[in-house]
Amino acid sequence: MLPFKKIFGIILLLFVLFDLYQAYAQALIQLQDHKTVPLHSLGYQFIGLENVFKDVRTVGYYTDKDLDNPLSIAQFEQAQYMLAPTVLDLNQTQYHWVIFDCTSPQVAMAAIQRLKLIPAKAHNGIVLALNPYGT
Amino acid sequence: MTYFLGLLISLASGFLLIRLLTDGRLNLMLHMLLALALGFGIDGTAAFYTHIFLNQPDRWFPVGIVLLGAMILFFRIKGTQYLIPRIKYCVPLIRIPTFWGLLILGILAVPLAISAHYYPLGGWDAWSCWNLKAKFIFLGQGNWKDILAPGLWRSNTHYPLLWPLINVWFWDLGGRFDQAVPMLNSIIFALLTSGILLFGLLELTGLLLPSILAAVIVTALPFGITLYISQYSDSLLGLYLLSAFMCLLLAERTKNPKLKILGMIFLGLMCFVKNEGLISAGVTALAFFWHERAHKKELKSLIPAFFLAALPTIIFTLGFAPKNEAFINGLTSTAKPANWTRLSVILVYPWFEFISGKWNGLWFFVLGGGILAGKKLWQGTLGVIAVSLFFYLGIVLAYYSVNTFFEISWWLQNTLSRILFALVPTIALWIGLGVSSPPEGSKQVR
Repeated sequence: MLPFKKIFGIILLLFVLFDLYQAYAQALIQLQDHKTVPLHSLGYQFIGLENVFKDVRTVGYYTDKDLDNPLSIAQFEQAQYMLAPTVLDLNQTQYHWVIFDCTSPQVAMAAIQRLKLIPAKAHNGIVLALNPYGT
Repeated sequence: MTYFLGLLISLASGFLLIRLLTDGRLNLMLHMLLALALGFGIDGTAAFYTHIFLNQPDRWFPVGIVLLGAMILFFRIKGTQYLIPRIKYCVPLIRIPTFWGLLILGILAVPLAISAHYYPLGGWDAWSCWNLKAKFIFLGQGNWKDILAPGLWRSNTHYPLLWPLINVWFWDLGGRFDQAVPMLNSIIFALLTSGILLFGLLELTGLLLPSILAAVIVTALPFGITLYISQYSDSLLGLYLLSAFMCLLLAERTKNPKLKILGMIFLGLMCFVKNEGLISAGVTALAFFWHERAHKKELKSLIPAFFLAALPTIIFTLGFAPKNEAFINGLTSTAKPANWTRLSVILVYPWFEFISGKWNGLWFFVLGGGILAGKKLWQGTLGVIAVSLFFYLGIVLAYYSVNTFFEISWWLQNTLSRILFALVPTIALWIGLGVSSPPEGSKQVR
């Protein structure tokens, strides 16, 4: 059994060295990469809204994007993370504040007019609207 | 700076509790590593009880509980024993193998730190689940229970809260929300895992190189690094499962039965990490109680230790956790029934997962190591590990089959690798010990 253990040990050692090499190579690439936009930066465009929502427990979040698309859900969940502890109620507009995150500002404005809300702020491609009858 | 003060407080509380339990008869390096892992659990538990009793955050209460506990332990130990471990258990600190071990941990820390900095918010589930919960608990004040609202079902509202509460404890100490805390914790958890594996195997086998190989294989796999720095609770689950088994094995080797109590505490804490942790802890505890059935006197302290550490899970599950919105019972549902097609996917998919390139062939080494170790893997405490791992995986696969809420291929593709990732440190311990256990009577490095 001993020669098998030795062979196993040598192969394992090579494997471990390869892992270490790959880990450092990956780290080096990440260190030099200033162009790739990581998935989590989707939520940065919502930064600043938390100041509007101080002491607000729930706001609406309206989107016309395809929610079967992982990127759209990621955007919503990123927004939720950035704005926590305010709860974002997906595609509900009965609240005092409603965030419109649409495929274009024109689509957002059309939805705001249709729902009889008041646009309050355009912020990094998203529109914040006020519902005068909202809760 | 405050973060490192938090680490020191956590280390002190864990150190003193282990000191009390082990009577100072534990290798000092392992003592410190296990102490920090335990200290994190104490922090999270203190933060949990604060929110339960006060129903809102309080900056000083959770920190005060941990400090008060540490002081009580300090004076309790000081009155009866020497505070630092006995000298022969401190000696390993100045031995060459310890130097090599620490050097390896330093080498592993570099890619972990760079990757963690590259993904400061962690992976998808970190910001959609774990850190989101932490933010709600910390910033939500009296409304912290909004995290359990049905509308947030995507964040797995029914999941337990240990890692989020550990982050909350550190934010309490610092007095503000700081994204760096979960990021730094993710690095520490990874290094604790490899450190406990490395120094634990060294203590158990006396062999330096296999111990180093096991630690590096667990931590340096690029896919593993990605998961470690993703800030997912799976890494904490992996750390606690490894720590629990390490304590049980050390108890056997060092003839110190009180280490078994520590193992049970780790298992109890693991229940509060995530639901998979609850299943794994339950299976492991049952297997170990069965293994210890002849030691009825010891069982009288092991069972209460497990339930005491698992108390936050019991309180949360019975009193707070909402129902799982992502659950359809496929056995009774007519709209989405569990069927043979689903079952066959579940039985076939894991084999493709094992040979997937992201594991770099790791599972072939597990297979090879298993063959080389042979029957040793199925005896004594190693046998308990084997039974626990196989029963746990069996239950997980059965759950995949019964819960038909998600499309099965997508679900397996996104979660099975993480379930396996949490088991890898324990599997490395299991196989490593089986392969490198020295023949009876051989000299061990201390």
